[in-house]
Amino acid sequence: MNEENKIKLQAYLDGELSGRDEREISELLTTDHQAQLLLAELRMVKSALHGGEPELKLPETREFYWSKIQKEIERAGQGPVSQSNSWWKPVYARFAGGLAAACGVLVISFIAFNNGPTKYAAGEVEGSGDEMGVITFRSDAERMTVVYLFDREADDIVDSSAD
Amino acid sequence: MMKMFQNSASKAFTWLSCFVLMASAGATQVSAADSKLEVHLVWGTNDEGTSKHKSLEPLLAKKLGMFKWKKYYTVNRKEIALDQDPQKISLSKKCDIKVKQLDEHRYEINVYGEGKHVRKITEKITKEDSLVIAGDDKNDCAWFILIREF
Repeated sequence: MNEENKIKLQAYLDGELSGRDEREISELLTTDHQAQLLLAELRMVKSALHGGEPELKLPETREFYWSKIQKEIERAGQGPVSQSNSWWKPVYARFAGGLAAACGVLVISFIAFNNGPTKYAAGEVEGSGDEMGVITFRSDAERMTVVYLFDREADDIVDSSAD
Repeated sequence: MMKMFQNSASKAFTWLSCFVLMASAGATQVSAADSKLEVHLVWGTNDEGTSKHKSLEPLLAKKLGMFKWKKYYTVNRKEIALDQDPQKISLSKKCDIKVKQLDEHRYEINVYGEGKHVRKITEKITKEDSLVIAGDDKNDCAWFILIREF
């Protein structure tokens, strides 16, 4: 599974896909076992952690908030934002919301696909059996390494309804 | 004369080497024997009801604040003093861990669920840097094994 599909899978889980992209990922999930496993892991992370994607309440409207930022950029001498139609802009605009979170989660999730010993920054996790998934992450704020074990088969991972 | 000097220098060097080796072995043993770990088996739940278990101390509950569960209870707490042999400790009827010290702050932890080996984790653990091994439990609850030096 390529990186683009991994990001789309995260967007699918967050209910941010529609139309063709959503159909593509739904089909992928019926055939690709790795995609099914990744979705299960992303679901697990989403359900176990809270506060990972805080929703910030703006004191003004979204448009006004962003227009202020744009004005500040222009005032800083960088000129108006280019209106050229770069190929990546629509893609970025679509996925910008979940991109940072998705990258973080994907880095974590990548670990779980390795069948052998999993090495990470400070340590190593080793185990037997494919039925048990493992996600390892480090909280620098709490100075704590978390090794989270979960049953890959526990969830109905093919269920295509995004949460 | 020169040969005598060489012989005694050689003997002195041999004795000195032995002394250094013995001293360093002793120091390693002292360091290993000094290592003490505190292990908590914690249960996380969103159930508002009361529990027979004691609430997890606030400092540790704060550490687990990143997770979704609202309440954390200490099911078991054990202190272990490690020597060079690995130690297996039982945290509950279903959960055991085997701890082995690899070097000063580096530990190998084997986790067993209902007697079956689940995972081997190698991690640095200090008084400040703790390791949490966690997993889902029934009824949307979770278990945590929190390990740190003390």
